[in-house]
Amino acid sequence: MMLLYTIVPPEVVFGENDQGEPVSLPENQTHELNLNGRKFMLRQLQNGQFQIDRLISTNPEDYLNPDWQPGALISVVHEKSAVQSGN
Amino acid sequence: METQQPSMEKDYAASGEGNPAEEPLEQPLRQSPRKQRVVLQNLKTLGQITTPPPVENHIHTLIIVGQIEGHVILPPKNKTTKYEHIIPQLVAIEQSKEIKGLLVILNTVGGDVEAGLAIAEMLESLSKATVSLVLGGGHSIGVPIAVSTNYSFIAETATMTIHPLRLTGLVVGVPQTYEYLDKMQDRVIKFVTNHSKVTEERFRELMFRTGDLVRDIGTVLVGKDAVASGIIDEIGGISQALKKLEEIVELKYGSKPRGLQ
Repeated sequence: MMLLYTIVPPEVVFGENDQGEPVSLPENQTHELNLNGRKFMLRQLQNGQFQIDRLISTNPEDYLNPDWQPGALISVVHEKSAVQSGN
Repeated sequence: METQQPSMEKDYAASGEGNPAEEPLEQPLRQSPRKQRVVLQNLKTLGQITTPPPVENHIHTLIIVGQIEGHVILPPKNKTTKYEHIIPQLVAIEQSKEIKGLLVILNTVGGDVEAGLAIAEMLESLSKATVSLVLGGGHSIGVPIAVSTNYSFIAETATMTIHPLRLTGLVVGVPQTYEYLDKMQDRVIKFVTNHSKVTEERFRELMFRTGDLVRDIGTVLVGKDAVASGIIDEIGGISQALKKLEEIVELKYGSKPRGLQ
């Protein structure tokens, strides 16, 4: 059950056109990564590398780390088995 | 206990030196795009980047932007703040011995009622010093979040839209619609009036006012109006908000937060 209390019209939130049909969205899905208790939203580039899209942390210091700026490249190892998720 | 701070900072600086890009970043994994997508769902570990030890700051900050996302994942074009990100952060802040104050920065268009109220309740019950700052906008469900802190600020140009919860369109898949809507609206009104200086009567008047919004019921409060109505405590920006937070920290803990210079 969801109730939205927002100033944004529902057709904008849900990406519908005038006829109420869903608009196909470009595939710019972000991936979430946990690192030392911080969360990163990563975007995959054409060449397979990952770029930091957004850092989610409450510690203001984290945002000053040059390695963690939006747009910085980050290397990610692909985990093939979902069972091994240790974090 | 807390004297470890300087040495931790040193470690951070040291580990930052031998850091990035010594090894080539690209290790292309050649796979068909489809296969890759499946694999990516399990992405987990990082490669070369060395991670500095966490630097503890006495003031932490919570940024709530875009739509507040609750039980349903919104389409990716929405910029969202996710409930499941915020709640663990708040728990961690409450448990931390280092953190003494939390600055909540709001620029939100509203969102899920339950998630919004949950965040507001969490902030309200946090034992740490809390100050909120509304920048840009703190609309709809952003209002209870803004008032949930010990003290609230709004930027002079920021706006808050107060409007009724609506039946048309905004309700998705709710069975007992009208009664349910009314109850949810009361929850919002009760929370706001209990945690700010605005009276229930005045808040309802703002919520149901006609003629203020084009083709809609409700009110847009710009900076000063939000303070005048009693919803927000004061006009201000980042420096005023941090100064106030420092004061509250001093009141609560009897010492200045060292994270601030």
